[in-house]
Amino acid sequence: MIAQQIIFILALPLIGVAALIILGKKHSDHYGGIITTATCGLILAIASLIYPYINQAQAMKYQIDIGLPTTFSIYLDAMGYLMLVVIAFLWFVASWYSIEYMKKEHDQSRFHIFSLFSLFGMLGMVVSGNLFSLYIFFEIMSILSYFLVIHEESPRAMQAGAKYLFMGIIGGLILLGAIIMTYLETHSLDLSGSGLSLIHESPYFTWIFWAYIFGFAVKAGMFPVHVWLPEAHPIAPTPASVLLSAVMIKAGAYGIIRTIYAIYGPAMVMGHSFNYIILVVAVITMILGSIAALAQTELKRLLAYSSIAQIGYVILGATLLSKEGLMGSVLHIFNHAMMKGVLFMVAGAIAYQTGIKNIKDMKGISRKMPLTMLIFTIAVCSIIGFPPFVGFTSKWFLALGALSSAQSKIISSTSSLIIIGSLILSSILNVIYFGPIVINGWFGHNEDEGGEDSPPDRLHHGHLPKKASRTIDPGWNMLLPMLILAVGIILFAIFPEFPLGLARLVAGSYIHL
Amino acid sequence: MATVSSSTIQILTLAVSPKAAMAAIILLVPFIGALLTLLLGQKNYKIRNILAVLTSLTTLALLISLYQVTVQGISIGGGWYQGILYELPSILGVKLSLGLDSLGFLFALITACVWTASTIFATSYMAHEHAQGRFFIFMLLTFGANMAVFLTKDLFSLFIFFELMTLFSYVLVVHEESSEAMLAGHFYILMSIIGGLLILGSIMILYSYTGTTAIEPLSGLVSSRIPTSLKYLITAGFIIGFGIKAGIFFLHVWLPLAHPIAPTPASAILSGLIVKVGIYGIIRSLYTLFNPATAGAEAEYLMAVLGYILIFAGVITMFGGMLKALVDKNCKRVLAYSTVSQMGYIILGIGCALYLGGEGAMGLAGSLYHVINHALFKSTLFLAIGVVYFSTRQLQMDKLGGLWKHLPMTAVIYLIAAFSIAGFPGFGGFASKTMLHHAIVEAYEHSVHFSPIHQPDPWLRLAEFIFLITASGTLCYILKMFIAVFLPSSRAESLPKSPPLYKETWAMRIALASLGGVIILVGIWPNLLLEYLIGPTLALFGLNPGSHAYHLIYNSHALAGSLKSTLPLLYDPKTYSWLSPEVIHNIQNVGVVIIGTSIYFMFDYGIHLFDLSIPQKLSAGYWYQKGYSFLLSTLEPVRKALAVVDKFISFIMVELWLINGE
Repeated sequence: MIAQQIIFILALPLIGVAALIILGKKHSDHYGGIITTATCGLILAIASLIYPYINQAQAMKYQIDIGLPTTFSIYLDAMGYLMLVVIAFLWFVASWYSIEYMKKEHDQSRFHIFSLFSLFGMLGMVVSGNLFSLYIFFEIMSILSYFLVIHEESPRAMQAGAKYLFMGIIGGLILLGAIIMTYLETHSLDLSGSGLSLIHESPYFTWIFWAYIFGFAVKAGMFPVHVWLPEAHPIAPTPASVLLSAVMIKAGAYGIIRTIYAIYGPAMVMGHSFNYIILVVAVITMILGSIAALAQTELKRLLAYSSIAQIGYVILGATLLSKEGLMGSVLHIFNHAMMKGVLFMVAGAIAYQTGIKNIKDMKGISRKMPLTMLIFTIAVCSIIGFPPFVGFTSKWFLALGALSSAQSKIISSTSSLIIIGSLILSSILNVIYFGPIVINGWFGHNEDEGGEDSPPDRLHHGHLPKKASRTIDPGWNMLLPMLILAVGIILFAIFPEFPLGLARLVAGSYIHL
Repeated sequence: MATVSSSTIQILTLAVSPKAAMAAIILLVPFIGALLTLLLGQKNYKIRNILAVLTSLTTLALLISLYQVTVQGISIGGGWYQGILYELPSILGVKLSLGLDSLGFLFALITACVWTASTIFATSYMAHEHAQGRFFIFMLLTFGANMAVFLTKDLFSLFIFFELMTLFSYVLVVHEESSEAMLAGHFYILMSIIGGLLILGSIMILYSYTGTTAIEPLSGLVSSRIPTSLKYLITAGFIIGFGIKAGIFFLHVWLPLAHPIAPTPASAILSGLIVKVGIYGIIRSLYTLFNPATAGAEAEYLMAVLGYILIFAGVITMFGGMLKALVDKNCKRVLAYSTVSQMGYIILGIGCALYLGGEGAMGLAGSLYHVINHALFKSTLFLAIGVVYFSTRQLQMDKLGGLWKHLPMTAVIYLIAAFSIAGFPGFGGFASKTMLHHAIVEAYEHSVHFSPIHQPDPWLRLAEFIFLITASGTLCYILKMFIAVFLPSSRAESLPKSPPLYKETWAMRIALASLGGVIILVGIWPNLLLEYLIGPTLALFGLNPGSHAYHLIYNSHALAGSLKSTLPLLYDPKTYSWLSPEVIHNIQNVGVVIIGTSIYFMFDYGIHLFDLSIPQKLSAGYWYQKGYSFLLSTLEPVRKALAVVDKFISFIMVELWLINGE
């Protein structure tokens, strides 16, 4: 029963694509957004039906023999389910947002078709039960989302697209090599069973491990193979930026978590100190992403660098090898998706309504778009790590994870304190680069506008007359998706049971201490 | 109360009496008020003003209704209950709880009182400002978060509300939206967030090792579960984190920038109350980590080290703040530096309390007393200067003068607050400063125990000396300001005739008079506070209120009701005499302070002391600016190197493979 539901989920994006193609360019330009949104809504609804099974710690397995050396199998556990929800949820809000946003763009039907294809790839990847099908779906997502990146077709977009495609292909090929080697060494590609544990006996296990990590790290945007990310994410149309930055980089993080926990197993990773190396890279990613973000003048580019920093958190949590750490990592996948989704949507909404893209032009923007700015503020507070927003939740678990790793002697206690220190430093850097945007947005005054907008006359006595102000917040089709995410940012912090329960299941299934 | 032994005291929970839920109700009132103001008060300013005042009054009334159960204790069904506890559902696996005990009650009460007065003042002061709706809403939100900090019984929720308070009060700081205000706001928010993160780090380590953040079990678990090296780290995190809010020297840089720039009612609150949240945090966290009643030898040593550090942090803070206040010409900035200086007194008291361990009653009592006094007189002074500004739109001392005639009531209330801050007998400040002075002398005498050669520590003698110098300086700058603002001055240029001088409004008069009244009240009957608020708090921490020097003050309640208790420190109940050596010592100190002040004034006639400017390099703000730009400039090469790495990797991974780079 559940297997059918999952297959139906997988089929839905393809049905959507078929519908768009049948409708023809003219109609699908017009109805594409609605069809995509409806598809994602349906997926989300079906996914919610599966929740009770997952919540009872039951993993779903279903095999289809397709005559290749391996089978195509469906496997859904808590980790995959969490990803499924993140994907469906973010795709839903981003598609809803795109209904209005894409009206100003060309070739809308192409955008929606490739958005659905990427969705197909993402969904397939997280429900795949073996490495072969995981790879196929990973490549579908990786290559077909190229068309989202170059949507503008401007020289800058083409260049960014070339970078994106090339690095994606190199990463993919190395990943393929790792998978082939795994098959040769273990004669198994089954993620759900124990066949892969034979890889311990292989003489090449170190090489294979790093090939996996490299292949996924390219997609995740980890330092030093992040270079495509700040080019590709900002140049795409905003709904695509949301999908790329909030969801698709998580495919890489998902792969890394699976590599560490499902393929190799935490004991093996720890035994060879692999975790220390990834840990260091994750911390570097975290800090350098933020430092690079400091100097950005364009909001969407800044957000892309911030994504690099945030993916560092996810990888950091995964490499701590403690329950709390993995929980923090999994939670951050969920939380960062919402936060980065909102941030990109707001950046897009500001550009859509006023044409402003640079941070320095956003002084006093709240006087024009108060609701948008409020949503932005919530997301920024969350990403900085203020309680009670979701960003705080995941950082709390990451830091606890570092401490509990130290207590169970996985890492030294000095390194746990260094990790907490870098979490603090990263938060401070977040304040330094996000703070001024929010502050100037609310309280800043744009010098050019002069008189009417400048601070009021201090010598005025008597009640000030109310300034007649007209706000230009975007329409409900753009505002509601943002609001949903903003409310989610607060709600999932105060009532974190849903993501936290899943995270607990993930951690419980992989770490037995 | 005294008849019940401490082991049988229980905390009132919802299972026993619904009164325990009051903590949650009090917490919600200001937030509901803010919501109502947002919904109803945006159009009609009268409704907004009434709502704002009513909300603070309601909170105050609800709080006072809890006095019996939280501070004195009540008996229900044979059990003795003191303090309330309201369990919340746990978040992130951390159990949250609200509640109130005597320490929280003391801070909450003074906060609610002063906040009410400031809100009343604001209703008429803010009538001439922009964005009034925003101001009142955030005033209420800050109030709610501030009260909530005192209403929490675990460090995790304390931290959450502490951070919320920072966020909300930021809006009050930058209210003017001028570039000056924005700069102050940047300092404020950045330093506060760094402080918050340090506190969070400490809480996380505590939680990770003990599995709880609740104050009750924590105080018992710390000594056994946490390694000593981490204890230093945790304590440093708490002291620096809360110290930034409290304005300890070198962490105070945001304070003189942010407090003066906010609208006056907000300045009064920032300077009078919000810094106290930092003090509350320090007292709460330190006495959770180290319980003097149960401390072992190791903990006692740690406490002494910590106390010693805090004593000198306090001394430097009080002296530096006083010097800056002495030479500044901007009225509100003088008051802000004065806040830094007065925080030094409070930190010194906490330091003495820790240094003396189980004998530290005097230090803590002095600190808590000074917390109350400072909240009262500093907000009064700010509001009085607010009236001056309201009337003249001028804050520079050398452009003011002779306002005595126009604002007689303000001048009188200013004088009352000034006498209190200066520590004149008969005013609240005298009691607290005398107690703090006793505490430092006790610490000096006690230092024999820590000395290998059994000699008292000369540095503590120096600390006491600086204490007296600072006290004289305090009297000096506060008098200087009075002379410059209210007395006709030859130095002052004549005030511009337009705009016309405005009189105080009735709302302002009510606010000022009520604060002035309370100052006189606690000045005349200092034992009221000692007996009903501070004594129970000391008992909460296992400090013996009957220890030698404290006896002197505490027992003076025998004289309550008569005006003789004005001078409890002049009358020695132990020897039943007026002129015991102890008493003469107190009088001597007042004399020393007055003589010191006259010396300062003499210096002013000679070398124009008050016109001196302190070299830039001696100010902490200068070094912060330098440090910040240094930090950013070191990040720049990192960023450039990163860009080079980016290019290199792009080349290897992309361009090398592309035949045509276009």
